[in-house]
Amino acid sequence: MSRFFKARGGSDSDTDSTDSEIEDEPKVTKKNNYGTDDLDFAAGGEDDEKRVVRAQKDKKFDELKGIIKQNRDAKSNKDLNKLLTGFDTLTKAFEKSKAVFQRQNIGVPRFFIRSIVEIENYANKLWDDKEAKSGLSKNNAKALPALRQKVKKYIKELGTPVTDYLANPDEEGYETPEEEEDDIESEDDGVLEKSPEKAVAQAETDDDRDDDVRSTSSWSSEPDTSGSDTDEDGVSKMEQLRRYFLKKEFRGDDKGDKKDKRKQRVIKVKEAVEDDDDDWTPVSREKNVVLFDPKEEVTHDVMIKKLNEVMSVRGKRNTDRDQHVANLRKLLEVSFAIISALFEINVKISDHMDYESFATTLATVNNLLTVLIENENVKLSVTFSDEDENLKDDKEDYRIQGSILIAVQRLDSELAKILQNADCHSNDYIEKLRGEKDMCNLIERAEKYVELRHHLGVFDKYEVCKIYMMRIEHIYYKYKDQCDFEGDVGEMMTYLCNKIYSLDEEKQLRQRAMLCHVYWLAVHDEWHRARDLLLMSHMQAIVDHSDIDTQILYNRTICQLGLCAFRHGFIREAHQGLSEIQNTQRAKELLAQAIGMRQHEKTFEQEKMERSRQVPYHMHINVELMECVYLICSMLLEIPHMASCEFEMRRRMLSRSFHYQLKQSEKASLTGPPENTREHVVAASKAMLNGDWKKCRDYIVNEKMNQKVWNLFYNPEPVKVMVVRRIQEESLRTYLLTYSTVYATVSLTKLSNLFELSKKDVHSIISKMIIQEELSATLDEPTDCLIMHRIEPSRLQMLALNLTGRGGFSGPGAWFPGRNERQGDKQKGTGDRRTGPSDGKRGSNSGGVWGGSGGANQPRRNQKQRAF
Amino acid sequence: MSKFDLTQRMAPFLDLHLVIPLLEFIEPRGIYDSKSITEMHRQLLSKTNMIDSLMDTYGKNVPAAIEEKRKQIIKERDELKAKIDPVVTILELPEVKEMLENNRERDGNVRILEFLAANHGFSAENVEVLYKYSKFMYECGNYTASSVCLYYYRNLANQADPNYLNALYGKLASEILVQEWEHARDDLLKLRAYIDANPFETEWELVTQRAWLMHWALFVYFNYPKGRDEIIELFLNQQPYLNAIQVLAPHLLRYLAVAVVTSKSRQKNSLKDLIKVIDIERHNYEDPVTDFLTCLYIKYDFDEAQEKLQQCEEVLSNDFFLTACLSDFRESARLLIFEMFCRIHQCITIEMLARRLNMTQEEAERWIVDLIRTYRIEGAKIDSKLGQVVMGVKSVSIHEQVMENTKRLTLRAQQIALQLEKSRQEKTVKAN
Repeated sequence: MSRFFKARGGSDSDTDSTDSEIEDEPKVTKKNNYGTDDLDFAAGGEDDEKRVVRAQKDKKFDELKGIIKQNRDAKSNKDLNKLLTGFDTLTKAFEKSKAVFQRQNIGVPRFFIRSIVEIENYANKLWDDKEAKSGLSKNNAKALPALRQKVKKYIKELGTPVTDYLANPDEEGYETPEEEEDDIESEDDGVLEKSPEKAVAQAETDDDRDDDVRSTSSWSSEPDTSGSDTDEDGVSKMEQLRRYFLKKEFRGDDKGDKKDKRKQRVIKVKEAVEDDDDDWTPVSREKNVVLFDPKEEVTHDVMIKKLNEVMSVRGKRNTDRDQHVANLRKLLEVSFAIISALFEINVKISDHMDYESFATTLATVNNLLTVLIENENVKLSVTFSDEDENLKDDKEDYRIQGSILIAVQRLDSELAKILQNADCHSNDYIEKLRGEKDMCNLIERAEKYVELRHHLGVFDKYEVCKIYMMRIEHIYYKYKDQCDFEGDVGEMMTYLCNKIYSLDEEKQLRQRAMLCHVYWLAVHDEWHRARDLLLMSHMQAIVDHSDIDTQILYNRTICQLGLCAFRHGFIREAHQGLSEIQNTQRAKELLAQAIGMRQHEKTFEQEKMERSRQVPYHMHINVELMECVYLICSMLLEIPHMASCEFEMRRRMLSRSFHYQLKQSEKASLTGPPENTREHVVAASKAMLNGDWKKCRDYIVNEKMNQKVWNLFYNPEPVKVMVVRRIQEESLRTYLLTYSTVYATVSLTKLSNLFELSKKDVHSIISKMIIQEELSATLDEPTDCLIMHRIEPSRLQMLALNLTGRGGFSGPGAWFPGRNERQGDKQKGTGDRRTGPSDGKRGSNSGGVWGGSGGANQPRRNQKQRAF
Repeated sequence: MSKFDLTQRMAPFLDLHLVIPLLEFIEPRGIYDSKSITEMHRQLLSKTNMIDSLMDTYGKNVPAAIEEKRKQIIKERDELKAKIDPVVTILELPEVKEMLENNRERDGNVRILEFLAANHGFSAENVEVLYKYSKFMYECGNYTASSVCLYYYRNLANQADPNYLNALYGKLASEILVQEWEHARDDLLKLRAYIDANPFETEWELVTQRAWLMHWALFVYFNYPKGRDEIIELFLNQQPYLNAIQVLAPHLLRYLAVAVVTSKSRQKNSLKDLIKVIDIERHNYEDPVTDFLTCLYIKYDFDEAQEKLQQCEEVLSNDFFLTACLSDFRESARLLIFEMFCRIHQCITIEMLARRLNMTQEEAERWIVDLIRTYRIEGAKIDSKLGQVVMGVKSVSIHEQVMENTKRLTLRAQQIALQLEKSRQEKTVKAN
């Protein structure tokens, strides 16, 4: 009994089985028995009511089984029409009986699922078999696609039970009563043994199609499309099987040898074989062959042959691989199929891989790479067409279509997705970050491989660029000592970038490489080189036209460059760089470090896209730090500026967000001691405005700020010294500007004592201010003091000055010519692009002030004309 | 002192023959070790065909190999001479000469070639010979001959010929070496026009050519009366050339700076631009000349500026191109410092000024008097008793400011009116 069942179990759920009537019979009964007995066991010792239900259930079961039997008849008669209607009635009947099943807590009966799967397989097989299809009658031919579609849809609806059908036999087995154990076990074995075998077989069939399948993206879109692609069914089956494998693996099954997925599969077959009676293997295989139709026999023979080949390869893998390149070639192909299969695990592109499966894939790719590096006569390239492939002839070089580089690339993007989706504050993230290191190593090896084989001309230029690019993208954001790389990272970076500059024909990668290089230089404090490179690249002009990823990278680079400028004391440059990002209020979004707030404005698709662009946490730029640096820069620039235009009615602002912060703090009715970095800077600004540089310094450089800002710099001490020095200088400037009306003369010595600057520095600062006409004063050399010439204008004088507009556009008094000039520009329609937006803004502001309408302008114009 | 010597940095941009005068200039200055200079000189000569000069460096015991080479060269020269003679005879016929002189750029050289081919059996090969011969003569140091032949070649050869650019350079070098500055200047213009037309494949090539051109131009411009203004025009005001300086040869900033400082007509306008460039390139290139300007206009540190000025004198006197400008430079630099002082100070002691300007007090006083007279510095007076220079303070009263601004308004209103008029015209033109 057991052997018979085993054998049948092995075959009956096989994809292509067309069991005979006689064989069906016992199976069904067995199934039946199993079902009832199971229930018996469950319901044992229950009251009458339950028995009634049970009878009801039995009745339902009988009904279903009857239909299934009819279906089988139809199948064997190749009457597809009948099969179609049979399937319909079956599903209907099942729907009806569902309620009963639910009451009994038994979900979907196994025999039902099996029958569904059988029908599907049958339909698929027919579909695939062109010859058989053409032999069908017209009616049947019509019914076939309908049937196929329906079954497929239905299976999809059923979902998990179908997969569980293959995946979960053990668990059910435990619940079964003792006396049936034999039966069940054989059944389970059947399923169990069949699956790995089939998996390998599938991998083999995969092999056959491996070329088109390699492009995994088409795979992953598969569940959505139900076209007539011949691969699909195979694929969906594969899917189930793979899920089966995965589940096993994750359950920590003893069979889960995770070292190598490929090995694992082969080993599994072997294990399955060894687990059982020794004589099982041949029998099952014979049975397999015997049970096939003559037509199918051919294909399955091939399948088995290939299976054997794989097994032999496995056997020789560890011993004399190099001599058996033929096997090796097989191995390559198989591993290729497996890699793509592994990628296949996640169905949707937006989903991310499990970390474990990532690790296994990584290992597989690594192995494949080793094999490729060791064997020079194996060529792997996308440029080979199907016909060119040379798999058997070991006298020539082996040519296989495919690309290891694409696999590496795909793997890299998977890692990014994993990191994107991980919780960045958990230990888990750190755990996963280790994969990054492995990934780096893999990319490095891939690059070496490329360089080793470059002379063969097997690589697509773009691929090669991509590999270099990947390396760059793994290096560019790290500090020198963070990358485990012997040798000079800077040189490496230059070398890689130069490679891309010379190889890349499209501009896109070149731009990215350039930006990464700038970023790297900025991180490593090479301000001048970074700046020159950025300026030479003309990125500012073209970045608007490039893709969003490049724009994000550009934003990141600019921010990093701004921070670098700040560290070097180039306050104006730093301010300029950072303000582009900081003034928008959406800094995080622009750096792709958070999703934008206004989600309701976006469609689901857009949001998904945005999510996929997010930068992984370990590459983030500290936004708070950036903001603080920006505010400090603003303070250093803006405060003296504010002091200098005290008498102008409307001030020009250098930094709007800084003014906003200042105003906010003025509004507060009660100002406590500063808490966050922002408040610190605001408090410091107020101190500076009063010319109190010591207080200002204490607000900027203290314990709290050390923790939040300064310690985040790579080398904080010189930066702090620089900032304090700048505070001294700017305070001096502010002081002079603010109090210039109060003093007639100031001694330089006094100033130098007050601001703790050397006299020489004071002298040079004052000289600069005089030359730039910020300060109307002169120095008296013999007495060493500054003589102020500034007289505070009276109110009338001030108004008159403002009316005539002192500094070109700045005063509101310039409104007349200013406005008219703007009008003229508008009419011309060719305003300077750069000043365009700011002018527009100012225009709208003044519109607010002056009412903006022609009517309000009229009297003022009269007044002006009088002034002429 | 060798720290600021540019011979080594310049050499890669110059022809071997152009480096020779530099070496000869630098040899007696004692900046470098004399042995290494001689060795260098010898190596340089051995790469050329100027055997006689090479033999001079050895004195009496000349190696046999060189004697051998000499014979070979003479033999080669005779062969080439035999080939070239008929060609030159044809070209020196009066009618041909006339044609060559009247040839206009636009017509190209085809017409002459056709004429020569028809009347004198002239062929393309002859043109080649011309080039070869002139190159050989150049190598031998007979620059006059080579410049004449290259003149013919340039008039006959096709612009697309790969040797054409070489010929232009060769002609320029020959003219420089025979010190025909007028001709050299014309050649320089021709070469520049050729380069600016950008016949090169890559951007990099173009930049390199520009850098070469600028180095060679130094010979011409510093030996030519208005040359310094032309340096400013070429180096500073032509953006592509300025870029080439920044990318490849920041050391040229020294020559540019000297040119700007000493230029009388261009100083005011160019100084600001120059300072900007120097500031940008400060991390890349520094020498006393640029530092002087940095100290004066960026750091406002007059003490240091003074120190730098002293260093400048040394640097300039040791620079092949700049020795002649030394006094000019000194004078202009002092003036710049003084001007700065006047703008900042109300009252300066002459003693301090003298210290700053590197003069004795009496000298300084006389100098200032001259200055005030020649440049009409407003309001500056010498208080001889106290030993001070007093500036008249020219602070603008608010009343004046308002007046000024109001006057300006009219001007601006006029401008707007003009602009509107112009745009209206444009529109009507477009509409038609």
